[in-house]
Amino acid sequence: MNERMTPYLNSDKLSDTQLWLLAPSAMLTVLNAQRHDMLFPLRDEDTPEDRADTKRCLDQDWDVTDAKTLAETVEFLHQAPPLWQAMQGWHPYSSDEYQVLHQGDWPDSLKNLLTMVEQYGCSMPAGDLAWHLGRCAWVVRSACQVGYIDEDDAWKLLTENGNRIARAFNSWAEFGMSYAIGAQYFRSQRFNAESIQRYRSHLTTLLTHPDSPWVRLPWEAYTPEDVEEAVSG
Amino acid sequence: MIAKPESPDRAATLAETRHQLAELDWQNDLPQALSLLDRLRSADTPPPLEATTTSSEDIDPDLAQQISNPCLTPAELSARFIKLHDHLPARFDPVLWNSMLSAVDPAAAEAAPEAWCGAVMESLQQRHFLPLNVLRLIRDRLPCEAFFASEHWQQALQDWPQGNFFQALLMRGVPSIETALTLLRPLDVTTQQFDTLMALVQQSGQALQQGEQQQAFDALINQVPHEHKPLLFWQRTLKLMFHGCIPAGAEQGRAAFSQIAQMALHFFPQDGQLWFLRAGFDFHTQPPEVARATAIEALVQAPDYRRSLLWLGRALLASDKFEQATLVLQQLQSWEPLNLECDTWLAVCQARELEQRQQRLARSGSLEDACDLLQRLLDLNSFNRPLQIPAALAEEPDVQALQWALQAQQARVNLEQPDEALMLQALDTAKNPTVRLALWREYLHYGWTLQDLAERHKKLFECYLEFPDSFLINYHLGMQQQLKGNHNKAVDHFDKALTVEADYFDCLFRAAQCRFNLQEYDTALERLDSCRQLAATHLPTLRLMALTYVRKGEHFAAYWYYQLLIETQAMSRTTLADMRGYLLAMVNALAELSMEQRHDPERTDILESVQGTMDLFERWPRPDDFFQHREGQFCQLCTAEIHDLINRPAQALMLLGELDAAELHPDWLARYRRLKGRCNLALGLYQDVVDLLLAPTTEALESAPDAQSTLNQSELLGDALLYLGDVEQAHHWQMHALEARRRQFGKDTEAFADWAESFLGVYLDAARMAGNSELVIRAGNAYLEEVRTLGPFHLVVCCEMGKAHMALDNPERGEHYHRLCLEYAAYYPGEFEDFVEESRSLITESPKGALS
Repeated sequence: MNERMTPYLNSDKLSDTQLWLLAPSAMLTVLNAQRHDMLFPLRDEDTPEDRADTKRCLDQDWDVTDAKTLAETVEFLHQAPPLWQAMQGWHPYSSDEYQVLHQGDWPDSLKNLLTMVEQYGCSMPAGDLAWHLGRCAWVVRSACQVGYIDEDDAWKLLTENGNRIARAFNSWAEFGMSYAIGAQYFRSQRFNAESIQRYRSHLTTLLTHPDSPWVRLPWEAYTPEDVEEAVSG
Repeated sequence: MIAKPESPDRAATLAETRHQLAELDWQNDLPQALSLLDRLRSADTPPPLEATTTSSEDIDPDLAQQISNPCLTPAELSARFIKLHDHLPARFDPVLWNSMLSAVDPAAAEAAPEAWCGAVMESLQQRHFLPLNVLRLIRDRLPCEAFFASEHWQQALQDWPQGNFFQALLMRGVPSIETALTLLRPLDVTTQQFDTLMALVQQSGQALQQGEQQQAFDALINQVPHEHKPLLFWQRTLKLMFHGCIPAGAEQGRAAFSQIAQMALHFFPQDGQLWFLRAGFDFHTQPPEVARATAIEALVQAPDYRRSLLWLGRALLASDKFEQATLVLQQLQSWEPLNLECDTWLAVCQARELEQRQQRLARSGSLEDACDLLQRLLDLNSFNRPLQIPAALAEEPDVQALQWALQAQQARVNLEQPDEALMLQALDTAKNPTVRLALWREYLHYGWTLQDLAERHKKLFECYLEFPDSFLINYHLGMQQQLKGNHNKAVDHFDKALTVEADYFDCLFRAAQCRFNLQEYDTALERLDSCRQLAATHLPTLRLMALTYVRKGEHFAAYWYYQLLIETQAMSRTTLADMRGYLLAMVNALAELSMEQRHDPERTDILESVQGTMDLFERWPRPDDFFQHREGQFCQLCTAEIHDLINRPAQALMLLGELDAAELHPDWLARYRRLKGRCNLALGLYQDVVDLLLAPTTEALESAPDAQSTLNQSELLGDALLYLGDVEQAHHWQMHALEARRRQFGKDTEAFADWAESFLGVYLDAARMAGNSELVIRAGNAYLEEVRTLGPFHLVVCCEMGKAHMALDNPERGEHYHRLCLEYAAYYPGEFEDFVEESRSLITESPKGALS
């Protein structure tokens, strides 16, 4: 475990439900060394430079430049993920059949995907859904920070996102694993211990560190019925 | 999918492991159980070549050469192929088998695929692992429908009534299920199985994709047969049902799953995948104790399906048995290092265990609990977790020492330097042996950054005195000795360390390296075997194996490992670079060996071995840009040089010809010219030698007269011109070579005389062979001038000079040299008697008696 967590102070006095709705973005938040305990994903102060940096990131990496493009991106992320589809096609195969498939003259990326489906086929009915929903939470937080949407809209979007998460997973561990698997899938061209080490390390940190939102906030602290409370919180 | 029939050894091992696992009390003997599973996994790894082949004496020595002979008919080729196969035991590494098939394949299959397929199939179909490989190859060779309609296919299906593997082959090979069914129709039994199975899978898979779980279940449940059906059917059926019956509210699905799982396990009570699904189902639907029991049963019944450890680990975690869960999940992680699921549950385990220990410390406030917590943090690499140590314990030496060790660990991971003074102070004060060992461990990691080797060694030795049997200490001492080049001492420490942890990969590999350096090749191979069992595709291991075989002179075995190396990295970007490296290593090793053979003509085994390997070697596929690269060109040159060394100048020239189209790297020009000159000379293509070398050597005489390349080229030019009858030019270049050598030898006149004796002797002999008397005289004069110490070859020189003078109508000078020959002969009775006798007769036959 080699990650340094940002302090979890909750100086904005957010409710547990609100903090829970921020927590799905934790993997990306750790990656960027940002705060888990406030709506804006800040490193330190909310400076103009930091906002400009976030704006640039939203534009270049997410094609988000305003509320409309944000809505499009959120919708895109809420669509069914490709790994899930692949698993539905392949997961009935037996181990011996996977061996046969592995012997085929396929590209590396396809073989890696086969390995993933074989390994996670019985454990991950949700596939890499968390990879999309977790990043979605971060994008919403960032869009709010740079002023594309106001805080009310942000909490609405985060709640909708949180509902999907709460319905699809049973624990932060499952959610985190699904996120890391998404990252693994995303890197299926270069599928080795090195390429997934960062995600592996972040996952371990978030599941073990006392200042991690996934440790501090019980999964059960939020259920999809908490919609109204979340918005008004 | 069929399970491959197990060899008697394999079946016995499995049965024994099952028995041992069943006897264990898993609650208390978990490490032992994991060790048994790990041992079984090692046994499962395909045995390496040298462990299973018969000794090299048992294999027809020229088989390697013959097997790739493109002149053989397919039947002959197959016969030879099978002959080799008969020397190999049943558990020969299938990967290598594939390589072998691939190597043989192009030679025959291209020309007559049907004949080749028939011959191979007929002979090999009885061998349990071969039909899969052979069928795949055959299928690739024949048109799809021809293959499936062929007798081989039908025979294979009859031999394997549960031919599910072939069904999979079929599915990949034919465009549609309808075609597949048509092709299978003549085979009643299998058609029925296939039909049922595929209908089931199709229906249910389609329903699942559309999110219609209930419909999928119906498709599965309604078609579950009551009689014995193929294993693949059960595996797929249970797997398809697995997810659908886990969620709450899916009681109907759960009942169906239980029923089908029971039937499946009734028919296949030892199938790992069925047990895995059953254990997973219980984990999700039953209390942890039940899930744990099912997972254990799964591992006992199918110990070779180790993924069931996942459910055991998770069940232990759910029972708050964190340490045991960690052991289990870590074991699984070591087998599946890219499986993030292990990381996830290990992290959950760690968090909950540390929290539990922290709470226990808070309650007890005892030194033991504090050390226990810190020690565990150290073991788990969890150094940056905030800690709450009771103030009363903070000053305790062991607590301080462990906290330092945690800091050192953190510094190490963050690539920072720990505080050495603090570290030494902690070592001075810590009392608890476990704590001290932990401290030493971190110190040893730190110790590698010390520049002062003496200090490092001193500390290591202190540590060794305190813990002489520690794996870690011996491992580090071994590394230290290896670094110093003391392979004997290093290997002692590595061996000692391995008695504690037999499967520590790096230690095994280093032990192998040391044995290799000590030229203890057989022992090195034993260690490398163990490495390969732990990491079958570890490239340095494969490289060292190949090299070890080269050193042992077993080039055929080495070839397969080189081939495997290329295959292992087939899709990697570094393949090309690696391939150059492998080729170069191979070529250099072969060059070394062929030189050895040259020095020791009795050693025909080397020559045969090299020739055989060369044939194999040249069939390796070259990348398109092979000849454009410096290394590729060098490999080609080396290969051609070996041909030249083993008297195959024509083959060497052919390889050099492939280089002609490429722009040769300047570094290789001289080497290329020399080699091409040598080969042309050997083949009597004298004018080609002159055309190749005259201009560059003339130029080199100005720019680098004493360069070795200039010297070599001068010698070749001299020889070629001599055979072409150009006396003046021939002598010019020979003498240039002589003078250049003289300058090269400098004051070492004795060495120069030795060289000149040989060189001028060859010169004279060549002049004689060319029938050029004038050159014979010139060469002889040079010889007598340079080689002042009388030796037996002087008899030859004088005789030849006498004959040459006579041929040039100079009988006086001729008689002079013949008499000189007779005079010298008195000193060397019995030497070169033919020449002496010739000189004697020529004096006697002198018409004028002038010679008297």
